[in-house]
Amino acid sequence: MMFSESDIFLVTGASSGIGRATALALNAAGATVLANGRDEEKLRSTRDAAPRSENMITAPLDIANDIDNLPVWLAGLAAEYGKLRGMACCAGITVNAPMSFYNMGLVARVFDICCHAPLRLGGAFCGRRVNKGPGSAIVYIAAAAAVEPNPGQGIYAAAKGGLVAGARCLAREAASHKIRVNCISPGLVRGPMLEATVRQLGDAFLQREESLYPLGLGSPENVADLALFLLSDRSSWLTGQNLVISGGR
Amino acid sequence: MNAQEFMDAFAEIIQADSEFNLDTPLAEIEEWDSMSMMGIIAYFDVNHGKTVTFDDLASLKTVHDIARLVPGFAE
Repeated sequence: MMFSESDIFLVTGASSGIGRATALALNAAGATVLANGRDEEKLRSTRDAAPRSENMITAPLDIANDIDNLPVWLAGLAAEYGKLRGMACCAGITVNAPMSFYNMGLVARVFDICCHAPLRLGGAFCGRRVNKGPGSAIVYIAAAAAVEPNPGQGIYAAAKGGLVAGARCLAREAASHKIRVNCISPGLVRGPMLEATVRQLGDAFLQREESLYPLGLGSPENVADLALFLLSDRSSWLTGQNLVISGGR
Repeated sequence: MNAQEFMDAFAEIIQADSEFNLDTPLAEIEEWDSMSMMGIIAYFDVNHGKTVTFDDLASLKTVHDIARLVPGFAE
């Protein structure tokens, strides 16, 4: 097994998509998972699907609701369940709007979830009372849009790009404690976020995009596999990186 | 929202230089493209809390058809 049950990981966005797949994969690999999301019922559904459901604990919270309180929340989780071996920040939302519509109401919502909350959690994770020490690791789910945005993805790209830059800095700050921080930037992955985008932009968008992926669109499990590698000792010499995983796109 | 208010908002969102009125067919507005449609979708989401999709807009013919999507639009 890649992990043992004393390896405790927090996964945000664990209700669906990449977060759910990552929580399940960590659990299958032997770890104990604190599954976070806004919807406790969906988190219970993730837990019920886990191969070792006794090692998955639901930790519902809207992480974008009170960002400055996240360090207290995280410290509380560590105090209750044990110091964390790692964290996978998978919660996110996307928005499609031209840059001429850089409206602060829209922007704030995206930045809170995609950039501010995960970076706040990251800074708090590096506190001695939270992480398990050398070998602890953070994975952030960013987006291929942070590197190569399509028209209409500017707000999302800015938020995820901020996350990537902040994560790189966190990696450098945390390296002396042997805590590693990396980002994964997925291309289009099948799941609720893509379904919401297709509902908005239409099937023609999906067909056009799909034709640009040499290996086809991704699955949440493709990303979860990479997340597990980055959270494990197998990537012990890898930090401060943003790995694009996008089927050759 | 009345007709003039909507046309002002619409012109701003699609950054229209060309002249139009409520009855102008969307196909005749030079600035009416996929980016403008995305802007209109964002406008309805942010300003009116309403979900409008690309497919919804693709089925509309005139500026008036879009205006009628505004909750409480005064004809």
